[in-house]
Amino acid sequence: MATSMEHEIERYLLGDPLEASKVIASEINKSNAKFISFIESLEASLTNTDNVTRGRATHMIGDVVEMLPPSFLSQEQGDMVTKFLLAKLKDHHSVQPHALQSLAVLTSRCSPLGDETAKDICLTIFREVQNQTLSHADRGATYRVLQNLLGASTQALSDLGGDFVIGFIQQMDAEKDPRNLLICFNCAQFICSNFSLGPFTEEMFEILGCYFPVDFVPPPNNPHGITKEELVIALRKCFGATPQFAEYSIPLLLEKMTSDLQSARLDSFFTLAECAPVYGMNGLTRFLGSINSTAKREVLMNISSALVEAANNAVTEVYKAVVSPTTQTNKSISDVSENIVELYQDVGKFLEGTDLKKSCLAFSLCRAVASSSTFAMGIMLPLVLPSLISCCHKHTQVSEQLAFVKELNRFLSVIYDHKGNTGVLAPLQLLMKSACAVFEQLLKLTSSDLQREAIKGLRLVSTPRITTDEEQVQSLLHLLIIKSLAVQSSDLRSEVLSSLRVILEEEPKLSEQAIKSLIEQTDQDNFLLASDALVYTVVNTKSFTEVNNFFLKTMSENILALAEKSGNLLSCARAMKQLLLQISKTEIFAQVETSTALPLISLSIQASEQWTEESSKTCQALMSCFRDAFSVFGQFMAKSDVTSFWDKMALLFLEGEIQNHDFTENLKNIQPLQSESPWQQTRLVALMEGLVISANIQALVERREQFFETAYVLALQSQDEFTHLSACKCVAAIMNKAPIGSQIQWFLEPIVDKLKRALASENTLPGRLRAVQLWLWLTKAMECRGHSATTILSSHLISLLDDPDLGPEVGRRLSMVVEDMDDIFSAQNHSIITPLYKQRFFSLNLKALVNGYENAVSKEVKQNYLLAVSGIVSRLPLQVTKPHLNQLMPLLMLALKDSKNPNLGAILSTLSVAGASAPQTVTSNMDSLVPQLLDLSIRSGDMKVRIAALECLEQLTGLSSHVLVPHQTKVVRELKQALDDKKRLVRRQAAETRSAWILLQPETKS
Amino acid sequence: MSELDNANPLVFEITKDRQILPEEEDDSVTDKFDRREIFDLIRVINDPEHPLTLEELNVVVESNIKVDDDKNSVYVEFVPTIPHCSMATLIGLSIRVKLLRSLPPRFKVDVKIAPGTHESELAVNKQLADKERVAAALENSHLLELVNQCLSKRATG
Repeated sequence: MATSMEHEIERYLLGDPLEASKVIASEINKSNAKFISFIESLEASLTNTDNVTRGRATHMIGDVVEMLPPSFLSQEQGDMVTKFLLAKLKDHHSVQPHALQSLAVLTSRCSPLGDETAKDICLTIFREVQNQTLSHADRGATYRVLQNLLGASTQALSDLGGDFVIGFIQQMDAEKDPRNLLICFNCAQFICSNFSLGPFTEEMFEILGCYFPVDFVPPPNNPHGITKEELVIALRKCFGATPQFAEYSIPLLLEKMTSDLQSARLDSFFTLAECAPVYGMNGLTRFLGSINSTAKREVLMNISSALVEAANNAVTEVYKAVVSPTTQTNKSISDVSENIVELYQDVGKFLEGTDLKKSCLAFSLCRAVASSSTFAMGIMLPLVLPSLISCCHKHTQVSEQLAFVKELNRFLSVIYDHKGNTGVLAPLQLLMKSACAVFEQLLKLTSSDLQREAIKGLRLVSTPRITTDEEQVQSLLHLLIIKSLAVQSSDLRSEVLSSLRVILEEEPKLSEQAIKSLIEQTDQDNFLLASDALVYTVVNTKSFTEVNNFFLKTMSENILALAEKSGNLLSCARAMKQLLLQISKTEIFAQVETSTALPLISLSIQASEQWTEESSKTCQALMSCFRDAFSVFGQFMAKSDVTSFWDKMALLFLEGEIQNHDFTENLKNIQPLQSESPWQQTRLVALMEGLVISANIQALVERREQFFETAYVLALQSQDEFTHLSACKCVAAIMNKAPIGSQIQWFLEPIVDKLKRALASENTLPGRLRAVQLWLWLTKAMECRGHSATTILSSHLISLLDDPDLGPEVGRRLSMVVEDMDDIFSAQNHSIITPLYKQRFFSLNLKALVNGYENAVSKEVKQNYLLAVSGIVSRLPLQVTKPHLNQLMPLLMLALKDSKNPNLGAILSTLSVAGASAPQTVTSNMDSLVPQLLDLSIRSGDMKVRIAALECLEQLTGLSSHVLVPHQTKVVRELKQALDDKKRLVRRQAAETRSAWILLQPETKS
Repeated sequence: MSELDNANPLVFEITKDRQILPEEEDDSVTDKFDRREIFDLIRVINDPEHPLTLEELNVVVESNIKVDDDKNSVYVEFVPTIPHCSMATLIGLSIRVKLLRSLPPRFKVDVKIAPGTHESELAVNKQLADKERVAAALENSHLLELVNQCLSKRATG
């Protein structure tokens, strides 16, 4: 065995170190005792007279140890080898590096070494190694040894005290290699934060400070993966390792803050911001003045926004650190406040607002101080805010006013962060009053941006926990209420309303007052706006009850006096729907069945006695509103609530059962689901529709089948269009949600049979059309859920296109299958929706459609197919149709020729998109497309089509110019006519399109 | 351009987009050309010197436009930002070209500097009123390019 070990050692020395050390390490790994024999076998080489052999043998110890598992060697073995290696440090200078490398391995692999050994290593290295004379890899070994020891034997090294610190400083001196520096910085930070630096603080800082600011560009491809940021962050941590560095580092940072290099300034501000919490009051206070002036200089120079932000951030951090709550003495606090006042006086002349840019920058600096602490805010704000407020008053130009008001709002958000802290806020009350005066004045101006800022400001100020004066809050609230009724522009209005809501949420007791004054306003002409605003005042159960009752009362009054005033009825119903949506996710919603749902039902039944032929349109609108309200119930009520609500509704609608319900009024018996009933009653089915389309089908248990059958008959037979459509939707929604399995067959088979009979040509045309409509809805419902039965439905539908009577209707409506109907089929409504069902429908039926067109016998039938194809294609996203676009283009071009095609606008917008994403297909059709578009944009009877055609023409200018130039003259000439269109909107688009064609750039010749 | 004529102009707020009235969407009603429509055409023209529109620099304002649809006349006055603005002719030309391209040919378009707002008001007005000179100016490819730059849509719209 010993012979093989010697053999391997020889192999190592002769030049195959890796393999040899692997073999030896695996040998030693089998038994610890063999380590001794390994060292013994090395003896001859270690004492060889040749320096090189001695060096390599020394190195070998390290290589072998590295391949042993961590902590394989015992502490004694480690100490022993260390002692030997330390002796080697004193050997010939060419042996020293090998000893260092081995030591680096040993210190990382054998931990912990004995305390004495650790000390010995340090002292010997400090004494024997002239680090600066070594190569970078060997220097790295020295640092690694120290790093390892710092981690493993912290206490022993700490006992060495100043000797260790100065030793480290000497070793690290003049280090340049970034790889080594990363280790050095790491060690230095550890030493500074854990060891007492004693008299060597300044030396330690010098050795680190000389690297600031880090300026390092990694070599190409960055082989070692070291970035400038890593170094910057490591050095920054060193600076912030101990508060003792404050007196040395702050002057350095201040000096670098005035450097010409922007990156140096940026780094200095960042470093200061990071170190400030460590340095604390003691370190920072005496430099406050200089920090103030350098930050001021940087901010006002306004070189880049990053620098300004960094400077402001540093200022905030510094002032935060000097006013830490633990170390407050009267002396230091007064120093700080003096400095704040000084800073204010320094920038004072900029705060007058003569130079807009400079003023805003100066204000931002003041704000940085104010946001640092409550104390600083208390001093800074009373100084600054008066000038800022006077700036807002003084300026008349919108852009300047806007800048100052935005600044004012930022200050107010600083105050807002201290809401509830009355001690601090009390002295500021007067200032906030004058800020309010500014906002009130701005609200009178026309600029909407200014008004928006003013409203934002009012929201900040009138939070009850900021403005302590209750009367003032109320008057501000009143102002907002008045404003909410006066503002016409919708985005500004929503800003006002949301502000109103935020304030009331903070202080719900104010809502009573707000509701009262809004209800007063409804008596005047602005009922619409007032009812809309009322929705936003609902913040708790009490306010909900109040507003809810008011809405119900108004609606019922309006219904009784239907002839005179119906306008308010609809706006009230819409506001009601909005209100329900708003509270749908709060706990107030639990009581909604008794408070709102049942009253709405009795209201609708009452109304059914009032409707006349004249008010038929109003009836439709109201019922649609209620349907939406009921779908909110279905979506958001708890499942058990839905079940009990459904039971009541089903009983009422199917049996005409009224007595047992909680209705307050005496209502007449009704039969809304009988197709013979008058439309006034049958339209009530919309309420059912709302619930059925939105609720979870599992919650609708009792009488579901009965309802389905009845609705189905109603859909087929009702002569009232609204009722018919509503019933169709009920049927479709149940079809879509019905549990999968045998039940769906049970549903489907008789339905299809019955429908086919209803479609048969011996029936009357209106009846057949109703059947088609129902068939379409069923197809949509089944396609949505991706059911296998759907092909029967859709293929029969397509075959109906050949029918001379029904074909046009089917052609027009077929596209609804691929349309999004989020109000009926959506996840929120608990519908079953298969992903990509539209794509599936398109690809499965495209062939049938195209073939149908080609085989059609008459022009009329061809037209039906064109209608269907154009409708479907223009409603699908282009990604879906793109692969087939070549095939479809001719059909679309033909469809464009039909001036009665309702899809013209949609086809044109599809073509616009196609121009951008499938230019080749469009390019090849340019010769027919351009004249067609010109014709449509000048002669089409529908202005929307004219605009769409013009937009499409404008989109085409994105194609490459060799395609466009042949048409340019013609287009520019012909569009002259469109410029004189009778509609302004068309003229506007025509001017833009024409100018785009005139400005066509010939392809650059370069 | 070595030095700008007016390096630091005042910037004015732009008007909101025109609100579309219900009758404008009614296909049976005829909309007459009005002042705002002309203003909407020229307010988006870019200033030759600054990355701003003529509206933002207050060079064109709605009240300085007169339109008579029945008599086929459009009259536009513009105010150069400073009285010695060397760009006045180019601005005037741009307005004129924009209107020529965007209005039906039946209109007679007059573009003038507002009285008393420019040193060489008369000369510029004369140039702008002279049809032949305008046509000749547009033959000049360099000038045409300058005008087109003013009329092109801004990239950061």
